[in-house]
Amino acid sequence: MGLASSIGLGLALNLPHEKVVVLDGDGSVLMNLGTLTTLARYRPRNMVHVIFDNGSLLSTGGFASHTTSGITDLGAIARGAGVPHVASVSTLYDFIEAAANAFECDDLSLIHARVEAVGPDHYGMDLKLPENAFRFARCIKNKE
Amino acid sequence: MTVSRENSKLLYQGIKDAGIRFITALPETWLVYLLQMAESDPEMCLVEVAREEEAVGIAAGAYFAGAPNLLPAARHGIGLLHWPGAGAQPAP
Repeated sequence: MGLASSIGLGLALNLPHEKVVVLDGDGSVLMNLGTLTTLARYRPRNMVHVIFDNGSLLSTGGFASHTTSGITDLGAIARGAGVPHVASVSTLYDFIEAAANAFECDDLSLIHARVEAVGPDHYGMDLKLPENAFRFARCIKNKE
Repeated sequence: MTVSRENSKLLYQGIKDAGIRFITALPETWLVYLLQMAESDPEMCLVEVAREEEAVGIAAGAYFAGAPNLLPAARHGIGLLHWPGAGAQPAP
């Protein structure tokens, strides 16, 4: 758990002609904070890291995360870690603008998006787990 | 096999011969020479991490990208890469 951005880094460094976009959550980033420093150091120019920060461990019971009520500011941590382009947004309009900038920018970018803690009734997946193990790999392979 | 420049050179040559051009690792004593060689090799991409778990994700990403890669881990690093409770068997 918490390794989405690390997997993205491995992909981005090995697929330099692809744009790698990582969709992450506050709980996931909090359990792997070191990733922000590794991302900053190796600075993959083709990677966008989006953190949807709802201040809640919503899918595992709705417990408060450390970012609840702005106690911990993940955008500030990313800036301090040395991520070169960090946008902190809390409205849809600002998110769209930040996403456009991140995609146009030929550099590592991070969007810290504060969002509401709302989600579906359940988090069960509608595909069989063995298939889930191969789907992503197949998708990447087909892109090459 | 003890840690030495000569032994590390042998290992590194084996890594290169296996077609590996991507290494991710936590820098530590047993890997010193190996990582120094990787760092000074323009053919090799080395990603040093803050914690071993990160390396698992990065190696997985490299795998998905189709890149033969290596995650060397020494001693306690190997323990960290596994579920901490896996080896905790009750005493007979």
